[in-house]
Amino acid sequence: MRCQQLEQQWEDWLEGRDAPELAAHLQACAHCRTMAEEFRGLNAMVPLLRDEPPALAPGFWLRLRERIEATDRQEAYWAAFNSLAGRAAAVLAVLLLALSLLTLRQQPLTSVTGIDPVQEASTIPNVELSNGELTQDQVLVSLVEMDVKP
Amino acid sequence: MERRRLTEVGAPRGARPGQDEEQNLIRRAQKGDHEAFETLLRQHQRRVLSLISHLLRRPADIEDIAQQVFLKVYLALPRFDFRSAFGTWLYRIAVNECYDHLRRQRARKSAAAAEIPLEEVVSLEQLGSSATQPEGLDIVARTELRQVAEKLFRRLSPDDRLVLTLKELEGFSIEEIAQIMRLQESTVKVRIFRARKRLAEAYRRLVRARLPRS
Repeated sequence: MRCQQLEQQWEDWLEGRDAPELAAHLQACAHCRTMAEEFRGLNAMVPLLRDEPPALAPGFWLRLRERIEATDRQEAYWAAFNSLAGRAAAVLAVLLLALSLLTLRQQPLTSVTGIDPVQEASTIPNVELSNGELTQDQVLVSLVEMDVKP
Repeated sequence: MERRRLTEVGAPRGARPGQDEEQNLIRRAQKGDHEAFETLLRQHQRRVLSLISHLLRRPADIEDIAQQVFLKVYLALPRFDFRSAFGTWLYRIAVNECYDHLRRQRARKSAAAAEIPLEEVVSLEQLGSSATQPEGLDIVARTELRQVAEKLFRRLSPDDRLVLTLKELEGFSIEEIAQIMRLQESTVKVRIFRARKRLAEAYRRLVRARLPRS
């Protein structure tokens, strides 16, 4: 078995757990045997770095509380700002809508072509039906001209 | 070395409240109870400080990073959903904060090999053999060896330093490290193996550099 295929087994082997493939490999591979010795050396050296955790300075918790309170204040400010901004946006939207409605109402009644609708209607040629009666449009135009509501 | 279970970590011996009490504290803290939050942190303070101190190895930075970690815990606590142990979640935040700090620090500077003031360098094989165990060395030799270990450790990449610290200095099991780092156990094993390998290589380079040229 190749050395790289056994990488996962080293931790078990170093902790004295069952790692039969690595154990067998170590019999045959001088490179890995050297590495095993080095790892044992490291395991003896690294614990020298183990320290007791340091004691905290007396003001540590007070400082933390102050930072937390400052964060809370900041969050409250942004929450209020966001809520205010949301409300302002809603009011603005309503105002814009009202303004556009008002503008639409104040515009004079014009047709799409820009000609007065009454004038436009009068341009429609008189077309009589074959039986001599007037068309519906002609009746409407006559009524408009006479200022009579249909 | 003594292996401490993750569910037991951080508390003074024999004083850790039960699971229910911790959950109660978390719920109160989530609702904005600052006193409950502080009690909760004080229960894990020792272990968090140990982790930060072992990872950073710079006493001047420990309190600042601890403040950052606790502040991040406070901000993230409302989203804690009890799916993992509070300890695991807290150590994950601490590990991430330290990792970021190490990466920033590493970008600024790197340790120099020439600073190591070792009179006699023993090989790792010698150290591993029963004849030269650190316990058997005198105080000067032990101090020197610790300095060597310190320098070598500082030269490791943040990733290597992280896994070795969690395993060798903090005593977490592979399973616990996998939970903290959100990795597969097999990945953690490979990462630790490679970190050991690089540490051994660094030591070998040091020994070669210190030995008189023939």
